[in-house]
Amino acid sequence: MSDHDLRLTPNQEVILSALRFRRRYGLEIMEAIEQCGGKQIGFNSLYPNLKKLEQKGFVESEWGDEAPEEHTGARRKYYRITGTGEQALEAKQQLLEGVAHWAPAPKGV
Amino acid sequence: MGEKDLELAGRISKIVGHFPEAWQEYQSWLRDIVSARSGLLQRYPAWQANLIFRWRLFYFTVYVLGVIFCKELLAKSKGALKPRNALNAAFGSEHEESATEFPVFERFLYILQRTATLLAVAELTLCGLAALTGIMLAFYYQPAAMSAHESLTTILHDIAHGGLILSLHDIAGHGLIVLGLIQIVIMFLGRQFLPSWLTGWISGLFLTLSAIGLSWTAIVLGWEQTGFWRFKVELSIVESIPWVGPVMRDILSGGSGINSLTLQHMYTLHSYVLAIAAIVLSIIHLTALIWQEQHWKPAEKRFNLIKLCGGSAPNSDASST
Repeated sequence: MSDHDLRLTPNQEVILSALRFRRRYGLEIMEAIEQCGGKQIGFNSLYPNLKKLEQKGFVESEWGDEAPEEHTGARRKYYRITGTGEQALEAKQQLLEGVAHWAPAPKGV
Repeated sequence: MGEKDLELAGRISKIVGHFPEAWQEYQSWLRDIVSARSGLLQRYPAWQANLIFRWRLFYFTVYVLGVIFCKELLAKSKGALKPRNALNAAFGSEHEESATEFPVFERFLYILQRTATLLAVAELTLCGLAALTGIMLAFYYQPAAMSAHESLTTILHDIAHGGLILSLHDIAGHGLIVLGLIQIVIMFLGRQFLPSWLTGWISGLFLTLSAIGLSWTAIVLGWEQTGFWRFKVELSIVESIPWVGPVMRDILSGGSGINSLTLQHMYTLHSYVLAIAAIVLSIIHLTALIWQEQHWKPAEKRFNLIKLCGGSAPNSDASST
């Protein structure tokens, strides 16, 4: 699993962070990001991103217990972060740390 | 207004519901669009909220339908790589229960195949008709500037059934172009990437081109004002092609002017070169399509030259019952 592609786009990173401690559904993720003052993710990019994260194995989805919506009959899906997803977030954190602590090698005089 | 929008969402859900896989994947998106609507209405004036809601619905529909389309295309192109196996699976195995009700897509292909063969027969018939009437016209037609129009007038008015023959020749020529173009569309929809299909496709394209060429070379043969000037304009277009233009002009018209020599060149191209090409191509086209129809039959019923000659067919064990 070490060669697994753990890269995340900024949007995917925020979505994944929102799922870190609890399962959430799409609208809830958007509200969470918005309420915390983040750059709002549009409807039109949230779901394709969730789908990509699911394909990469960073999140899993499950059906919610709510009744289907009355007009469309659509059900709600909840997303939950996986171990790989946590690894990806971790890798991103490490990158940020690494960049912060990096110092140029002293030039040999 | 609001009810209408929700109805729209319901209708979209029904459309996407036709594709169960995509519906499973994306229904939560639609649900959130609908449930976010009340929030939108609180935050924005009604018209703006409705606009955003509709935009979201539109994007959802386009995105999901796009995904469905791409998946179908992918599945189809995978199937097209080995069509013969797929066809054998659908038709060759008679012992299976599903042999009688083959998939919708296969049936669609089969209908297209039969239509293409029928059109090829019609094209060959039209070619034959045009050739026959063309020969009859050639008995009286004179390809010279002074007498071309006169001879056509004679054919039209003095020769018995001359008008009928001339109009049959016209109708056959135009019909050939129309059928050729329709055939291109039909063969494209039923594409199979077999050698037989490729032969039919290429011969069909060239048949259509030669039919158009036949109609183009006939412009000037009537030696009338409209045809003359149209030909003059189009000849100057040909001439303006870089490098080869002037040479092509000379080959087509036999010099710079439009005169008896032009008429003879056009007549030769029309009645010998292109006419023979069209007949040969339409025969090849029909043969290729009949050959392709063999693939729809079970292996033991296919036309087989070796079996006809008394030998045993080499691939008769393809589907043993």
